[in-house]
Amino acid sequence: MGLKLNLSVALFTSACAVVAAANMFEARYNPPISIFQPVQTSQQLITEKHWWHGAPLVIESYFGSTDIANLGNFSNGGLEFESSMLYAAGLGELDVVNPPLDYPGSVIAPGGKLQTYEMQITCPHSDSGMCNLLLAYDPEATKPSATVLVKTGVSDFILLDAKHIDQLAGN
Amino acid sequence: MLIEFVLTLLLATASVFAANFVGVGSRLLQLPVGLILLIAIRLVTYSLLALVQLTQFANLIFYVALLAICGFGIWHWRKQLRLTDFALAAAVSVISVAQVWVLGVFPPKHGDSLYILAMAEKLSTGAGPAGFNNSNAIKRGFAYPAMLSISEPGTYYAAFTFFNFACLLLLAFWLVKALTKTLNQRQVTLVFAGLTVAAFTSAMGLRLMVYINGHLMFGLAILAAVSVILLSRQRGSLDRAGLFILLACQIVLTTSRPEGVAFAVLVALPILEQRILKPLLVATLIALPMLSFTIWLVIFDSYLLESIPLGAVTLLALGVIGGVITSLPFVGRLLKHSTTIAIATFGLLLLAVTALAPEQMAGGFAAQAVNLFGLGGDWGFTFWILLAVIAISAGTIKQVSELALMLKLGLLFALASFSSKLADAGQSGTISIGRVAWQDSLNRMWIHFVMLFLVIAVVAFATQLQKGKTVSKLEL
Repeated sequence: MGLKLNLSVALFTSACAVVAAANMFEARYNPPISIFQPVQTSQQLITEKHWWHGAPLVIESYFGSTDIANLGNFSNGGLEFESSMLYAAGLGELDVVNPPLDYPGSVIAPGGKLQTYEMQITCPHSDSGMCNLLLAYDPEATKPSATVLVKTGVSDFILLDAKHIDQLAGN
Repeated sequence: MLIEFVLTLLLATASVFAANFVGVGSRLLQLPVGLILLIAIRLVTYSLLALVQLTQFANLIFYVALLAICGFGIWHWRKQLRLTDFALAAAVSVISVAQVWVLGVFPPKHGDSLYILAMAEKLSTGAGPAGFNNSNAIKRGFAYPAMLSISEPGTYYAAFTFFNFACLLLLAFWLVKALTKTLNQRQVTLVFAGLTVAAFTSAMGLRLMVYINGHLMFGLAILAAVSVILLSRQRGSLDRAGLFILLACQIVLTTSRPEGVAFAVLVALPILEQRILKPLLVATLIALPMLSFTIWLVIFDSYLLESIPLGAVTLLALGVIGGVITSLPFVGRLLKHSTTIAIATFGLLLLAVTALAPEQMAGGFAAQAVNLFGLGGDWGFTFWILLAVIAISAGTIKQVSELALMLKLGLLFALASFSSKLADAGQSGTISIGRVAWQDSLNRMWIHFVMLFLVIAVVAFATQLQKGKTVSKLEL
């Protein structure tokens, strides 16, 4: 009886080991955890900007020429965002009243040509009328080299060049 | 690293003492139960300070509370204390800090995580939560960022997530051992270890240990609440320890996720239907989730309150009226089958929506099947093996009322999750129960219950293997 029981447990744990091996084999195509030097990236890079309700946000010289080359790696001339490139969070409900071209998901016109555009941002749920936006960029991001994702509202995103964060109007 | 280690050791030690205070003697159980109690203390103190706009003192007051709990504990149990009482707490602290600061294991980047980190870092400066008044902030929850923010100003408490996972694992191990006391413990431990390794080696299983989101905290509160439900069923009463744990679980559940307020009520139903509580306690179990939810929305200055006539007053009134009505004797009799009724209600809701929008729902169900069983949600073979073991042990589950109850609760939580996903999508005018992706919110909600299904599988399989027909009585 004891032997039979031990055998059953041994068989069960062996089956579990096989499943674990299968799991890990499957997981290797999709590394679940990034292992790198521990740094608190968001702490190092996060910055905070305010602008007032209704103030225009003007972004010029969107990407430099070097970055245009990098953008060539993206398909269809548009810029698809990925969560791995982000390190930003919008605080306060933001609505883009005057959306840029190809919005949402892409702010680059077809063909990859840079655009200068202006957009109006409002914060309908902010009592003070002040929009509050935390910006940062992810140093681990591969392409483009220095990008910031600005969250505008619940689910739409716009990419900003980190070099031009300080050009945000109405600070 | 040193500061995080000291903080984790303090949190772990205070957890052991806090659990002792409410009457939890089991060493395996002290850390997870204590953590839930401390999270509740953090939420209550933070909320009170936020109401009077003194959040700059929130971290200081929490540290003082932790030190006071430890100090009082040392004084109170000075004659019985042994260093070995804290060996587990110390080991978990070392592992939690080392995995992030020595091994450098960091979580996968995900938009939700980034938002939560931004919240936590902002809260850690003492700035207050009033700026987080958008829907995204509410969707990310309050409890988890509040715990991540007990760090140095401008940073987040990086070791906390794994510490939370370790507590969940300890709670599951305690529940398995407590329910199988009469069985050969070596074999039970082997079955638990085998199934745990099989379940948590998938990409999602590994990811959830360090994933920055409130899911693990929610899962911890769910499993602790299930333990209290089992305890009350076996004893036919709810003692002080069980009550404290349940109330703390309700606070944590409500503030961890937007759907948490519903789950906080759901975990109370199996206890309410036993009719073992005094009317005041019945009313409290119904009103507390709504009270916690309302305070959360008030201190976050949430836009949700603007969409409700009279805002917070209406929500509070709903909670109080609901509590009072539930505590009435004739309503108490109606609650006898409330868990079953809740399952039927969620089931009918899903059926009705499926009838209205068959294509979207079929697509959603197919996506969830691919997520769980078709490798689409990164769960690997986790749910295959859990389902297989539960199916093999179906005969035992049917015979043992505790196992049947746990499975019933698992079904209730799963259906409630589907419904909450529907409600979430409904806010934007769409009908959806998810997509194929690990980031899909319903796919991530399985983190809440995976440990419950693991406990069911281990206890049922071990009991069946050793020809058992009952499980042991739980003792805290």
